[in-house]
Parts: sequence; C-alpha cells; structure tokens
Amino acid sequence: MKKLTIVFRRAPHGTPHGREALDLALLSASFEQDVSLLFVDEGVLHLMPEQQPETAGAKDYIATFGALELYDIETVLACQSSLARFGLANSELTISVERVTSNNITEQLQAADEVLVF
Amino acid sequence: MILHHIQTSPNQDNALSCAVHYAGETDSFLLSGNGVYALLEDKWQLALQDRRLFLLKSDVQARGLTKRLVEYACIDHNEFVQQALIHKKVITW
Repeated sequence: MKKLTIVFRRAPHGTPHGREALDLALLSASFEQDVSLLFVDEGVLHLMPEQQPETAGAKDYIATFGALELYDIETVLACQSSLARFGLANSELTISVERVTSNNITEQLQAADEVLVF
Repeated sequence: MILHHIQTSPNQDNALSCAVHYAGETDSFLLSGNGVYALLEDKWQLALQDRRLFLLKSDVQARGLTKRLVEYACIDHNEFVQQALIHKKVITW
C-alpha cells in the first residue's frame, strides 16, 4: 500500500486536470491505497461553495467530492495562505478540509511515497 | 530529499511558484522545457538562489541560453536519471 498524495494546483473547470485528479484519487482509494488530497494555489477554488458547473456546460465533478469519506479518503488539506488569497479564509467550503500552513504541506509532501500534481 | 521538476515557464503556469513555496530546505530543483526561461528574471534567480538547481542542457541550448545561464548546472538526460535515483522521489509540478 502506497501513501499517495494528489495535489490540486489548478482552478476547476477551465482544464480537465481537476476532474482527472479526483478520478485518480477515487480509483486509487478503491485499490486500497492510502490517498491524501492537497489543495494549493488556485486549486483551492475547487472548494468554492455553490458551484453550478453544469450552467456552463461543464460536468459537475465538484459534487463527487462528497464521496471522499465513502472511499476512506480522510486526509484532505487546504493551504491557509491560498484560501486567504482568494477570499476563502473564513467562508464555508464545499467539503470539510483541514486548513494547514505551508510547512504542514511541506511535511505532507516529504512523508508521501508518491506525489502527483494536477 | 525531493527533486522538484518544473517544465513550464512561471509566466505560463504556477508550477514553479508552487514548487518553491512548498519545497523543503534540502530539496533540489530541475528546470526543463520552458521552465529554464524562469532564470532570465531576477525574481526567480533570487527565489532559487540558495537551492540545489539543475537545468536540462538540451532545453537550455535549444533556447539559445547557454551563455546567459552559464553559471547554472546543466545536466543531460543520463544525469537527470542519476539525480532522480539519488532523491527519495521526483515531483513533477
């Protein structure tokens, strides 16, 4: 079993990266890998509440984040400074995340067996 | 010790800024492709100043930057593989 950390660094919807990252996370988890998610930079925009991607013709994979617990993905971290940068520091987010410092993220990257960035 | 691999220019993508922001003290950086353009800018020269830094030689030569980036360590693909093996893992941002 590998400790796999998946990093979201791009904003949702504009590119397929976010959806691919989530697909990989759920797939890896269903293969018993120890999966952690990390939202940094514009990746935190995945956590913006009240998104309606279908109104712009985009597939709504944001709702699928609700399935993380079902897949035993418990470590879900978001960078505090990135959240603050985009005005999300004190607002409610789409899923429960652990708001962490850059140092915590550095430790997470060091501890993982593999890190894949989307 | 992680090798952070950046393939895009910082003006095109936030890969380099993310890598620099979350890298550990002893981590190394490899710039390839348009990533090598970052070193033409003071901002990124400073940000990468005290880091172990490698550039992919072929990408530097392809972009006519051999002289301008002469003080940086350029490596070929074999050395890239060696570096990847020395480090605990590679993160391609």
